[in-house]
Amino acid sequence: MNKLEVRDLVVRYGPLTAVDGVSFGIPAGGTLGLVGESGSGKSTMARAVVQLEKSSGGQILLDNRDITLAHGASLNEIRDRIQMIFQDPYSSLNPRLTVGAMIDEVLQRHRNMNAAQRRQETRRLLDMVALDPQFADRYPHQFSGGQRQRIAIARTLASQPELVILDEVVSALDVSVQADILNLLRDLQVEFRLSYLFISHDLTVVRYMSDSVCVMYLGQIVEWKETVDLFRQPEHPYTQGLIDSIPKMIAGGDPNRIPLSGEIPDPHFPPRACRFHTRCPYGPLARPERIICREDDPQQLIDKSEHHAACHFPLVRNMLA
Amino acid sequence: MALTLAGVLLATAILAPLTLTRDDVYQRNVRRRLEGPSADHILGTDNLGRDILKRTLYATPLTLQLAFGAAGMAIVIGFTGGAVTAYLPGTLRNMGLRLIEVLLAFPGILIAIMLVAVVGTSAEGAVLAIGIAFSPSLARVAYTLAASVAGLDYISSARVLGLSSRRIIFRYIIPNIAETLIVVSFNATASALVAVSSLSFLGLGVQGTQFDWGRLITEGILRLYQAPLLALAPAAAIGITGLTLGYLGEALARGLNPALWTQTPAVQSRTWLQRYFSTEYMLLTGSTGLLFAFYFLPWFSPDDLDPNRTLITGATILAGGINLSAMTSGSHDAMLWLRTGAWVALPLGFFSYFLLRYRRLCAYLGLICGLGAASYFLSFLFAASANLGTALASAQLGFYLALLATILLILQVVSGNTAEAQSSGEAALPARSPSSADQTTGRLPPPLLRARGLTVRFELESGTIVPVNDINLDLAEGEVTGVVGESGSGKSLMALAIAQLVPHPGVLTAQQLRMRGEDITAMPAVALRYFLGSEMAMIFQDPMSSLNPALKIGTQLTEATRVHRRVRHKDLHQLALDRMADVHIAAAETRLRQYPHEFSGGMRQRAMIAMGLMNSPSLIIADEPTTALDVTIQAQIIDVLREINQEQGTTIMLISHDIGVITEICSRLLVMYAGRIVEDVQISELMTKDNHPYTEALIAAVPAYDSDRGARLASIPGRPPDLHKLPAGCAFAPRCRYVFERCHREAPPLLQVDETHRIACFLRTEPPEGATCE
Repeated sequence: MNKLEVRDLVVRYGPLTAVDGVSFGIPAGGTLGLVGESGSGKSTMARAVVQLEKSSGGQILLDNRDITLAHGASLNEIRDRIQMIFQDPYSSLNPRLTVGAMIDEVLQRHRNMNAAQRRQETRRLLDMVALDPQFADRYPHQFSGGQRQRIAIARTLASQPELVILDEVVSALDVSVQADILNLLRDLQVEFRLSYLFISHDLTVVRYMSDSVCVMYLGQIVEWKETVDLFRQPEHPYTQGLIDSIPKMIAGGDPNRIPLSGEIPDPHFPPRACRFHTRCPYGPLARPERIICREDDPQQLIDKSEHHAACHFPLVRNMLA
Repeated sequence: MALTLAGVLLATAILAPLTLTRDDVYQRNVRRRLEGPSADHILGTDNLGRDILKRTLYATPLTLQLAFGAAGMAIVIGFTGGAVTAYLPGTLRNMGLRLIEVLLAFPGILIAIMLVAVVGTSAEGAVLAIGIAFSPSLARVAYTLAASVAGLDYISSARVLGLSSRRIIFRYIIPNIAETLIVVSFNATASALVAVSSLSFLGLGVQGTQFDWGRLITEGILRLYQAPLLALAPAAAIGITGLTLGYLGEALARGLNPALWTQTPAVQSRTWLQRYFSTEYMLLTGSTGLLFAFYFLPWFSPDDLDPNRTLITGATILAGGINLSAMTSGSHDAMLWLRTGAWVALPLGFFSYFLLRYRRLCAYLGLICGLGAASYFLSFLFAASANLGTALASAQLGFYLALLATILLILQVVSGNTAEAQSSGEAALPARSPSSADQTTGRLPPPLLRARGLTVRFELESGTIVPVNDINLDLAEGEVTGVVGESGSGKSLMALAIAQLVPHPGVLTAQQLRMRGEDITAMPAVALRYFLGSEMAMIFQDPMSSLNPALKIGTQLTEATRVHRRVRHKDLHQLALDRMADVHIAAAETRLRQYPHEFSGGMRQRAMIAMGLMNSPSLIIADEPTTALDVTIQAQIIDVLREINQEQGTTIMLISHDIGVITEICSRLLVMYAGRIVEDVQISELMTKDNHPYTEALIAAVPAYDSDRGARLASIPGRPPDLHKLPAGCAFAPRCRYVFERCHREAPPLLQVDETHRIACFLRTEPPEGATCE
């Protein structure tokens, strides 16, 4: 049974449909990666899962319980169990609270402890994320980016969550620090059997962290597969384009890659039918006979068991044919 | 400082009415009227023989009560109104906001005068009027603050953590806006003080036998020439009180912000001008300073004085001067007029700056600016003799003069100013120096860029740091070099140093910095700008902040070329179209007419590159050009750069934190650590050679697209060193896994180990016995 199950989730901001019928699941203790260009709706979806955005349709199930319209006491209960860590460690911590006070208030809210116990627990949590427990008396501005992200992680752990949404958590960090944080997140996952929804624009990092990966484009999921399969055998041309865009550490670049042309269209006016057809190197742009891409939405194809991509002409079948 | 001043003020307010009797301030003594300062009367006497100092001190409590009353009312109404508006649902919020903005459009003091007329002229009436009139501006501030804080990440995270609304408001929102609210409140109090005094000065405030500072000024202004202290003393009191309020607000706000606690008090006292007593003055000073910085400083060098610039510079100084004298002037009405003058001169200065930076209009607008300012200056002189009618008339005269000059100017421009504009600005430019290739016949061509001992030093309060330290570097023609390193390694600053753009207060020194054999450190400023403008282009990470949002892309693209070369408009347009095609921007004709905000991030970066290409530079320095972009767009930009290098032979220096991006396009890699190059290696030989331990660690820290997912990532322990206290030996030693004893003692020099490989590491150059090279 999945820890989190999202079914046909829709999020609208006025005329803009930022998330348009997205479904996925995250097993307990597993990590689902979420990739896509900016404007694909990744962060909006994450914010909808933690109820920071109101969803306009669909269902969000936590341990099979519908939490879509939770409010009051049940919303509080969900907030014990789902947590989120943000991209920018400089803006996600209140500059006016010490690290200790920040963690302490979460402990007060979520755990039944007296002051001495909370102090001890705060030190334990800081220690767990490899920070000196003495740091509890300091303010956020006294820390580096990596340390701040550790503080955010410690604060998150204070509420003993089951599912943590990681929204571009290493994007603002230097590579050397990034590796530390990624290692830490993997250790914590094993130790507490956490489920992660890992959002990043960096495919190599997503590949390193995730068991399976969803690829989003203009508010829809276009492919969802096991990580290893996705990277070895992408079915959707967009997925292939993303993978081809990764710098490969090959001097002079990969000669076989097929670059994606153009940019993500304005999400206010998504293209009809297959939303990717305006950029697809295999679609009607390159092969005029494939008019179906312009006329028929391939979204429903993704549900069928052996199809993992919302594409009329998935790449694997191309190769066989 | 602030507290002392506030203490003195408060003591005066409390003690003055207690120690001074009514007789002291009301008893007339006509025989001793209008006396100068003496032992009996420290500041002299007024026209009825009363002591000026005592009267001024006696007026303190009443004036302060009025000011605080008015400000308090404005603050309560304003902040409540603004905060409530911010939390109203959609349509109501918009309506509320529009209402505030409409009210804001009227000057506060005008509304106050109007309200006084309605509620009647009395002290209470003045307080009420100013309290209401000043509230819209405070409401707007409160609205903006409340709305901005509510959207921040830490508020979101607090909500996710399930904290109660009360907690969020009291521990997250209020502390984070309190600082601004306090500063704004105290500034509002200072403004209210000025406003209350103004009303009293005009006879609309305090009535009867009561008097405040404003009324004292009214009495004094009529005898400004016989007894100047009569008006100056209360005016100075207003000034000092305003200053105190400003100080106090900042000090309190500072006390609330933990991030500012560690700053030294020296920083506080140095900027006293900016702390001058009201928002308006701060704004005036700030914008004058900005105008100066914008225009005057970067352009002023002895060999760069063409007439247009001199004129506008003069106007700028005039605006600044007027502003300064307005600020330091004691007399209240003088301030009023001077302030108006500054407000007129400043926008004109800005307006002309933006237009004139590019066109010949400079001279004329400068003239208008000067005329307007001068007429207002005159009006001040009339005002000083208390003839308000004359003052107004002279101000009007100034306005009509300025209007006339504007019309003349427009006529001038329409009737062929353009021809003039084309021929100007070329005289100062030197002829392009011949390529130095002929000097080196028979030998290898010299490198495009040669730097020896390139060093950037910052003298800071906390000590001297050297973020770029003794860089030796050759870039060959057509080479693509990558520079990698953590934040703070000095990679961006090195690039800025090469382009002679080291930010203040950094000091650049170099034994040699030559481009095409020309020593660019020795060039005069104009020649250097011209040379770098045509030989070098820089592309930055954030194209939005590098593009001017107010100009069309086409204008910005052709800007530099118009300055640096004599090209006909039509050719220039064609050149721009070609460059847009080079970077694969479709529909270039339309795109050139658009503004930066109409471009997406990737498109803006392309436009930046196109702009860099306009003068066919021989070197492009790109500082993290793809960091802000999606991977797909990043790949496209890398392709564009690669194409430019291959088709036009442009040398490229690419700075990136992403070693993957660098391997994609570069042939050579420079690794920087703590301001030094620690390794210089061909990309093709990376990982096949013994690399610097830091290079190795950087590569291992990045998950590759085909790395083993089960393995742990190799992180680099520790943090980059603090440039204030670099270790004695190798700067990387504390984080290095191979470190041995010598590394802590000596800093390894950057040594040539073979033709294409330089490295600064004892392990690789002189390995100790028994050390293992893995």
